Amino acid sequence: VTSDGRLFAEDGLELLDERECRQLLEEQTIGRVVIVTGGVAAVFPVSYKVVGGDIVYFTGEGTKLRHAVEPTTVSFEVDDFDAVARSGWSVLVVGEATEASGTLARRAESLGVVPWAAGPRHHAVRIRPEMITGRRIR
Amino acid sequence: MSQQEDIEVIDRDECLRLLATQEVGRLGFVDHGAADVLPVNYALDGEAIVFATALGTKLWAAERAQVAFEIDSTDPEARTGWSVVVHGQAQEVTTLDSPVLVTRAKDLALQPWAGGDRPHLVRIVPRTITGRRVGFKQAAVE
Repeated sequence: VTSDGRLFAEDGLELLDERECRQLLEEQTIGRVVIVTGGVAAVFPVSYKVVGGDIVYFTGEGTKLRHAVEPTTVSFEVDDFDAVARSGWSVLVVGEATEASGTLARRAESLGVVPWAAGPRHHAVRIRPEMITGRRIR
Repeated sequence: MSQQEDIEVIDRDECLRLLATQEVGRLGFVDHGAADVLPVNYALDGEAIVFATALGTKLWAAERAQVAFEIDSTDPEARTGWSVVVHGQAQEVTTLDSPVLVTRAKDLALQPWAGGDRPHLVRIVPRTITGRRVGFKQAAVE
């Protein structure tokens, strides 16, 4: 802990508190969902919004959808980096992904969430955060 | 989803060109059975992605594993975005590798932004490289 109250991880990165992480989550619109499928990690970007504290996004058919049909623990990441200043931050959420209700889906759509995957059919998914951590480099 | 305009597949050559334009990607991996993801500084060695790490770190769980590596970019003005995802095997570059490869990996312009000693170079050899470009009729990004 430094004199101004900032916390640092062993790797030298500043640790962000949950309040700041949640604020950063609300400000961003593109995140990456990571799931385990067949024992292997798969990652895909999504357009999302935070609705009532939950992360809401749309997926297409296939592997990506399967994680929503049955509640699955996933990781979700957002970040913002400045290559010139070599600084930035990232926030990682771990939580259960489940199919979102129609109301939640419509709310997300009205907020500008769009599907990133091709295909005519999309399903709304929500992640309820169980753990939120953040790091900053500056 | 009335806001969706079009989604275009990005071919492998263009994916590689895009990979060469970025410095930070996100590494998705499995740690003790759970999905995990961390941003990493990387450099390209041909079609392989190379990042630096240290023993005992969270990132070390990715070594010798099947991983997913992702980069993306969105343009709020043009209302477009693209993403590239690489799936492949991550493996540390060691003295068991060919001297040519070891030299090449060490010569990469790989400079982790975060401090600390990261003496181990890990290389992801792509099994698949896929990309897509997305356009939005309405602003997806504010």
